[in-house]
Amino acid sequence: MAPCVPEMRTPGEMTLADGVLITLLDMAGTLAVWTRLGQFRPHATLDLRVDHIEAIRAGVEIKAYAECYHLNDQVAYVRGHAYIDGNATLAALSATYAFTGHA
Amino acid sequence: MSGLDSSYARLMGIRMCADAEGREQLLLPFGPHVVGRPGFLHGGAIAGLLSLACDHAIARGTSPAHAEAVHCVTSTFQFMRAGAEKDVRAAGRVQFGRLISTVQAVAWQEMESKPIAIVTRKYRMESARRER
Repeated sequence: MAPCVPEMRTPGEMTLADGVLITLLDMAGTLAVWTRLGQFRPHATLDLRVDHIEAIRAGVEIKAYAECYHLNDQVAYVRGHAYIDGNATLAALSATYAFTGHA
Repeated sequence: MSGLDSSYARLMGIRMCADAEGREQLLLPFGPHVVGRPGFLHGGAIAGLLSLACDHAIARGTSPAHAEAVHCVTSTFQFMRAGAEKDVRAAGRVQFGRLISTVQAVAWQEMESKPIAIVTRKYRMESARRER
């Protein structure tokens, strides 16, 4: 969940900076991998694709959900989305993570 | 789109600089706020820098009147190397289209030819909206 703080706003357009959205989605993806593993294991983002479905107004709290739908010894595959409670998807995520070591 | 005058850029410390030949680059100075797993930069910080580099590149080639209606529709990041605990630089290049423009940006630490990450972003242009 990304609380809205003034630093994350883009003045003028009053939209959320993409860097914040992407950081949130990347973090949600990482947590999805750890959740599926049931443990912490270091990994690095390989690819991260975001579909910006709707402009995100500043001043609203956005949430992200991600699921790790497949993993093997080397790579974890994740999809997810960002949303506002009770509303449609704002952005969609597709990402892969490479494990860099053992837990 | 976000600019270098945005609060996000200020929060991250991202600013404009120029290389020896005077080409524009964006600089993300290293600090604890950009660390992910210990010893390495967070992908989100690198992605934030790359997004700004693309936004900046497209804003440079768009009139201010139109810039507001230009918006990003997709971003595809590829991370090639671990980001070390050092400054990161980034620069973007635009290929303008009538409906959709494509921007590619590279982020590097040691040298531009050894990128730590690259991105391709697609932007929908103002002209496309008015013609609908």
